[in-house]
Amino acid sequence: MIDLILSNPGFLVIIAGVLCALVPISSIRKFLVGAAPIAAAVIIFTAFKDPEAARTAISVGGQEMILMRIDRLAMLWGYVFCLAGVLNAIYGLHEKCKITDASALIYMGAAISGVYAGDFLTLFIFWEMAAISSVLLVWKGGENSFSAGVRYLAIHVLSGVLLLAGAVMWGRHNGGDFTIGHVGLENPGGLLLLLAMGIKCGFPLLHNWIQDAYPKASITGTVILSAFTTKLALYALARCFAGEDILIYIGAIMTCFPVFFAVIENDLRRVLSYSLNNQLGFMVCGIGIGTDLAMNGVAAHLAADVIFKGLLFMSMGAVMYRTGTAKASDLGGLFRSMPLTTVFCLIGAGSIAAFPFLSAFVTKSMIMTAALYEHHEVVLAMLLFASAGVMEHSGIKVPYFTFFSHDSGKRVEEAPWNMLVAMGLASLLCVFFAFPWGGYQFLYSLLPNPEVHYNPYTGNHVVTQLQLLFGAILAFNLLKKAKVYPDERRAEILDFDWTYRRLGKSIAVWIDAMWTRLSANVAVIRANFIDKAGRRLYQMFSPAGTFSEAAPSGMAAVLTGGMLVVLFFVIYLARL
Amino acid sequence: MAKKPTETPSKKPSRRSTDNVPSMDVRDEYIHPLSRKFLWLGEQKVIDGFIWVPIIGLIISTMAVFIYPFDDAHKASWDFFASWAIIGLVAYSIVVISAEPLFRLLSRKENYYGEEVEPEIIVAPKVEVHHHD
Repeated sequence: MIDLILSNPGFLVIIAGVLCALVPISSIRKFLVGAAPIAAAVIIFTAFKDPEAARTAISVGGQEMILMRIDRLAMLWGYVFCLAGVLNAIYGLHEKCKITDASALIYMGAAISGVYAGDFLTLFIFWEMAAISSVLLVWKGGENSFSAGVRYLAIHVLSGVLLLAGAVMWGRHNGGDFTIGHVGLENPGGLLLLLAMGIKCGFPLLHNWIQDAYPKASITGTVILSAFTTKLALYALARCFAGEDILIYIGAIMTCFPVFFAVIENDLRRVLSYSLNNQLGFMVCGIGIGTDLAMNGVAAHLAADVIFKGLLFMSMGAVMYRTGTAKASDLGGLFRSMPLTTVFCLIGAGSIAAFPFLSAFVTKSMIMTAALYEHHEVVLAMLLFASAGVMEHSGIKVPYFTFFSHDSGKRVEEAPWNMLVAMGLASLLCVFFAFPWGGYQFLYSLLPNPEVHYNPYTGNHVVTQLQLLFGAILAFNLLKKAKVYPDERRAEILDFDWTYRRLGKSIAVWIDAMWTRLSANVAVIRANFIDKAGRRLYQMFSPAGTFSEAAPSGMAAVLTGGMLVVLFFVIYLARL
Repeated sequence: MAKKPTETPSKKPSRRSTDNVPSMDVRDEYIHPLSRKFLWLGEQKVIDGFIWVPIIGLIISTMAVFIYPFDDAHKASWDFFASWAIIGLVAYSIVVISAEPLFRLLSRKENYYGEEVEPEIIVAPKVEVHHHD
């Protein structure tokens, strides 16, 4: 039993989560929340020493379920999840909530278990477990979060159902082998699997659950959510669809379209959710390119993204914790009250914008270089456009409207110490991952294809990246001076979720109203029919009815005789 | 979980109103000691002069391409010495200029989906919270 628990690093985290749900003492829960990911990282480290020995499978109903399979790709994903788990644990130390602690651990454990699952059926179980456990984090966000959580759950359960259906079709096509490997799009099962992963990954038009649920989750919940769900889907995509050309274009579109929504969005946590979508696009694009360099870029950018995106969500969470809002129109000038949070947010913003010496500079460029090597110049141009867009919404808008811009007059305390520690560690990692003397080399040594050589600090790369960023900053200044840069205004920005939140709901309401009216009319028709039929029957068979009236006996004799003739005729025919 | 604020403003002040905001002298008591050294960042002169940072940065980085030129393997067909600067400038401008028509097209009232407009304030800052809406 112990061996089984220790076979997959995620199982231990899930058990710690279940324990958290039972333990009433907050300090013990907090210990579990912090210790479980560290223990999981130790298991990963041990397992990776001998991947063959670490492989664990059980048979359920004659079907082999591979609970643990580790290689370099899974190893890096697992380490990143554990690292995010530790940072989240520190960030959430102030929050004494049993549900958050328990669901955070079960959610993280499910994500880690999913990464190490070796077959689709095992992946399905943890895919759904991650969805169900994470919805509790959304629901902890307050009143508005309930309906968002229901939508989130419905979409993720749908994704799980599609995954299972696709897996079954793929398994049948594959002679009953459900092992996770390259699937491709030739089989209908592959299409369903891609759709399932696309939902969780935030593909265009399937992305709205991110912007709907994440900003409405609790402060700690949003930070936790940003690390796992979409990244688990990315892992599955990398396993099953690496090198599929369609992903290059889906990814490129994913990088570009969120930029336009982020610029007009007022809720800064929603801006970051669009930004999350945008960064996922870079990675999806890299998976589509599928070369060794591109896959290294995907893995490296995942590590960087989990940290800098977590850092940005943390800083907005700290601001929300102190001021009660994350709306840009209500914020501004907070560098006067929250200087450390300002610095950490700026490091996160610089990292996502890919400033030299900050993390995305050494990770995103690998994907873009891979696009260039494969002669995808239009895609490269789209990625560059998106990079300028990232500079707009995450590099400038988030820190500028929160900490600078006009002085909102809010004077609050600096973030709590535990939030500062978590943000400080995340900032250090953002710097370390891009550190030219040992930092990025360490990150690169963990990548799936360590034999691929890539040097991010070439003179030309530094110079051109600075051109891009300074060009964007100059445009910001010019547009500000020309008063073209839009003010932050309170509004609900419509996105594709309008189709189900408004149009779909309106259609459902209309159908319900029509059904109600139809039901009323049908009830009247039915009542009239039954009433009339009843009256006719009564008129015929009641004691005062037609059939009860006195009739001449001759009539009865004629009828009986007729019936006998018919009977004789039938018997005669039957005998022939 | 943090507590709810104990005090709520009796009257909703208008947006960006200064009615409910203490005078600068009073507010300055709450400025973080670390931030006092950086208050110059908020001065109009500094804000106006900030434009020189990207201008100088652009000039230097564009000139530097002549020192660190593109190698063939890393050069797209449309690359030239200032191509990335132009992409940054133009792409950023397109995104921002598109904001106004997009906002007109896509924005609705905050309660469009029937949700509560004001997010629940789930914490009490120890110093003060000013609501501007």
